Amino acid sequence: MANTFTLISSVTVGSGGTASITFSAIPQTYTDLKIVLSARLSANGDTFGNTKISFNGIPAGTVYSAKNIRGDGSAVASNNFTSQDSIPNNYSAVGSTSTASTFNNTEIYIPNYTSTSAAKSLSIDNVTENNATEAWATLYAGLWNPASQGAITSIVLTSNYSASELYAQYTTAYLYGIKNS
Amino acid sequence: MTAGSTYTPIATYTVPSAAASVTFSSFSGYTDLIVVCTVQASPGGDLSVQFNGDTNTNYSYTVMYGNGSGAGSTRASSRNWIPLDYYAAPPTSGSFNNEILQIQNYSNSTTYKTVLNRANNAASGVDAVVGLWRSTAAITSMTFSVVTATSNISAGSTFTLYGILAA
Repeated sequence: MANTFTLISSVTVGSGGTASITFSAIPQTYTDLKIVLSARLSANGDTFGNTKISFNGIPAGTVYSAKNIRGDGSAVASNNFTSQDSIPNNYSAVGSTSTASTFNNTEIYIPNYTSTSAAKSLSIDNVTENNATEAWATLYAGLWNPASQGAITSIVLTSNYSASELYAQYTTAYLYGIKNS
Repeated sequence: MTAGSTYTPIATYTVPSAAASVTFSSFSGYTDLIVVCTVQASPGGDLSVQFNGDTNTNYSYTVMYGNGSGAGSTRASSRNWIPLDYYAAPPTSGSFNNEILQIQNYSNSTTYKTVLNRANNAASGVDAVVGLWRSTAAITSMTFSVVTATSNISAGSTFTLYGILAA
């Protein structure tokens, strides 16, 4: 059968950390993309952190929007984001003061990423479980809707909680291509 | 892992013109199924799924939802279908929503069938749905339609069925 769930690229963050993770020159030969991220943020001084996602370069204008649902073990809430310069993925990452050696996990699914006519609608699931008093589960619906639609050729994942925070060492990100035939 | 052996495209369909439903059949030899779809509907309504042509009240579901200002949960029993979204319903124009449906152990003939769905529409909401079909029959077909009887699945909507093999 066709090999339809294929690793395109992976990143493992080294010592010193990095502010962003970039997948570029994404092959246009798949139907959907999936990113699996295991992340921890350094130097943000909190138990959790925010990240963001953008396509085909930064900044890309205020053409991103999202809605989420989030729960921390005691309450649930939902947020609305419009006219963003990236898709916010708040409450998505384990922060620097969280339980040592814990990393979040995130799945980002992007159907029909090669379309040159349709806005890109994506699905994001995050958990930051850490065996402590605060942990988040967050689900996002995201949309990239530029004036001129284009295939996604690059993806940037950026830490977004504060200027000093970085993706910490041992953070991993895997980009998979999924083909429908 | 040799991924290709366990995540296999079975069928894909792009709706050529407004259609009341989309059906997949003739899938066998897998453990679980995944359907990825991007959908518009007109005049609108929730996307739903039924199995094996069963239109009786053998379905139930529980939804967790967020609409940008509030979050909550609802559920219903003895329904004629499993709605796959609540606030994240397919748009009527412009962009498409996306839905990722997982159907576990679909071919067994001893247990009722459960499904998980994630629905995403950045303009209206984000949903997580669990559904149950109270039948021990193996799933041999699935039909997607819009709950609102007068609504159609719009042209350009895409549905892809994948098979997951445990071994």
